[in-house]
Formats: sequence, C-alpha cells, structure tokens
Amino acid sequence: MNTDAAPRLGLEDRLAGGDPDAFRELVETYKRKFYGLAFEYTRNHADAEDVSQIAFIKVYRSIGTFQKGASLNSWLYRIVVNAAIDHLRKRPMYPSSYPDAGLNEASPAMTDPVRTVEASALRRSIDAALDVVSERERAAFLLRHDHGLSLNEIADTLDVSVGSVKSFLHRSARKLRKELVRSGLRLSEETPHA
Amino acid sequence: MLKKRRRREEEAVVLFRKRVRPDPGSEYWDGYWDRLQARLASEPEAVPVRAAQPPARPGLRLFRLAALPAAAAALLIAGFFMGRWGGRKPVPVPAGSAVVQASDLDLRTNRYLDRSRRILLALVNYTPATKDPYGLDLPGQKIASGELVREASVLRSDLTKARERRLEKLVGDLQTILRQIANLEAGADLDAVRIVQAGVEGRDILFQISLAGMRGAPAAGPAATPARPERAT
Repeated sequence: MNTDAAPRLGLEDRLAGGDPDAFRELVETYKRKFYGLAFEYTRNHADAEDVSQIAFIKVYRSIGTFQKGASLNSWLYRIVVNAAIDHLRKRPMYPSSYPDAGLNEASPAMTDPVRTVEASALRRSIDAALDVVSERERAAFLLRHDHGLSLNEIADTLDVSVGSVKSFLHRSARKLRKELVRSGLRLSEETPHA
Repeated sequence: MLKKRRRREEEAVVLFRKRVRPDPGSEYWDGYWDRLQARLASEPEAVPVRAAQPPARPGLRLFRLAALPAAAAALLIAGFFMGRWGGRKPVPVPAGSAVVQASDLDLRTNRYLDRSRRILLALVNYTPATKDPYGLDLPGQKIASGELVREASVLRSDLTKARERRLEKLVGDLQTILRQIANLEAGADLDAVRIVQAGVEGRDILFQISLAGMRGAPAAGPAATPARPERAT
C-alpha cells in the first residue's frame, strides 16, 4: 500500500538537477510523514519538528549522493530514522519540554468527549507498548503499518534482508499485542499475562 | 496454529492503526516551509543542492576501468616500499573508533543511570503516611520516566552491540519500572506507588545502579564486578 508513487515521478531527476521547486515539492509531500515518524520516536512536538527539519536539511545537502534507480522512499526514510535515533542519543539530561497541550489528541471529527478520552488512552497504551520493542523492530513496524512501505523498501531503509524485516514485523506485532493485553486492553483469545 | 498466531498479530496491528496521532494543526503546516527555509539559510554549512553528475562517456568509462588495476598495483608497490623503509610509527586512533564510541556510551549510560536513580530515590523515599502533597512530584516523575523509557530502547541496543549484557539487563529492568511510573494514574494512586516501590526494592535496582557507578564505565569489564549479595526473601 504505497500512496506516494504518483508525486515522485521525475522528482529524483529534478532534485539531482538542483531544481529548487523540486525540493519544495519533496518537502510538501513528505513533511507530514517526516514529522509523524519523528513524533513516534520523540513523542514531543518541538522535538518532532526539530528532527523532521534536520532530516530535510540532510536531504537537501546530500541529494547528490542519492543513487539513480534506488528507492527515493527508502533513502528518505533512512535519513529520518537515523535523525530520530541520533536525537534520542543526544537527548539532554532533563526533558526540555512537557506534553503538548496545544496538540489535538483526537481527530477533528471526534467531538464526543468519551471517544476523545478513549482515543487518548489507546494512544498512550500503544506508545507504552511500542517502547518495549527494539529499535529496529519499532522502525520496521512503523514504516510498514504507519507509512505503508513495502518489505523491500523497509529492507533498503534499515539495510537488512527482507527476511529480517519479516522477522522484525512478526516480533514487534507479537510484543505489541502482549503489552496491550498487559495494559488491560481486551483482545480476542488471549489470557492476560501477569 | 500459524494462522491463529498471524490473526492475533494482525489484531494488534488493527488496534495500532486505530490510534490517532496528535496533529499540530493547519497553521503549523502552512508555515512549515518558511521555517525550514529560514533554518536552511541560517545553518552555517548551508550549501546549494548539488547538480547531477553528467553521465560518463563510454570511452572515458573504459579508460577508468583499465586504469583501476594499474592504480591498485601502483598503490601496493608504494605500500611495500613505504613499509620496508618508512619505519614503524604508532597508529593514531581515528575519530569514531571503538574507543571513542565506548566513552560516548559510558557517558550516556552513566547519565541514564543517574537520571533513573534520582527518580527512583524520590519514589522510594516517599512515604504516603506523611500525606505530604509535595513529597512526590508525580507529574514531573511521570514525564521524566516516559523520556527515559523511550531512551532505553536505543541505549539497550547500543549496550548489546558493545556486549555489555549486565548493563543492558539493568537498563531493561529500569525500563520496566520506569514504565510503571510513567503509567501511574494521576491523583496519587498510593497502592500503585507502593507496588512500584516494592519492585524497586525487590530487584535491588538502586544497589545495582550504585554497583554500575562503582565500576565507573561499561568498558571496565565484568572482572571488576563485585559479588552480588543474596536478595532477602
């Protein structure tokens, strides 16, 4: 399920050719994806903006190293994942910011306060569950199920084999489910673990 | 069996897709390009997008292919003579080598343990009987714990790569306890606090952190580890 195929036609060539409009087009196409992936790692609006912008700056500066014929999607996502992980490694000793009260926790269509609270609780449970999986499992899971990358693209992004990606995906889904059950969410055919 | 397992995994994925990601709003997205442009302009190393390399001509490519073995042979010969008559010099440690990476890992691990210790100390020393509302800054502890839980995944991965299994396990234990703190309900759920306190004491977490501090750094090696006392049962 890859929804980005159409706008990328010819974008690589124009980027490599130094076309400034192409870079803007790339930013417009990928800004929400970059921010979204960065947010999954940082869980913080300011840091997610910082990481996504750092990733775009890296793209801008290293577009000449992009190999023609390679997957632009994989190349871009590799840059964001690396930027997010670098950010986590360089995180300051104490949190610089607090949860983002200004952010909409629920979708605009969600006006029912009960549903809003439920959505918020679900998000917190899933965030906590995602913290359990390893770095690469989390990246593979998010790229597949949140960003719709193909197995090959994920393999290119993480620089591993397709078999490893499948393994990451199985393991992450299994751990995620286990943690969600532990957090009290009711899933079918499952006995909660202690 | 396999189908059942696959179905259960898919159930987790379906639930994951149901969650809503916080959105900063349309004003934020409208100004994104301008902010990025301003940042690009202000960054000291700002350089224009590199132009595409022109495709190499076939003749030039053939010449390069033929020249490669000759260049390699020349390098080998030069290396042979340099090694023979050049004398031996100490090999400098390149930046980004294992030594540099190890010290960086030490620093991050020590920092992580120190931050965790502060949170755990505040929690362990909190006595609900005193009813001091300022004794435990639960929202602050929860936020800091959440940050540490997220950081733990990356740190554990790095410690595994550095074969620091004991520290990796300690960070794993801390991750579990910090997650419990991060998930504590607002409004001082005292029973939950007691459960976390019991977890900290039961696993000798503070002792293990002190032990890691005594070792100074992960690079010290397992030989420097003193014997772990028996846990009181």
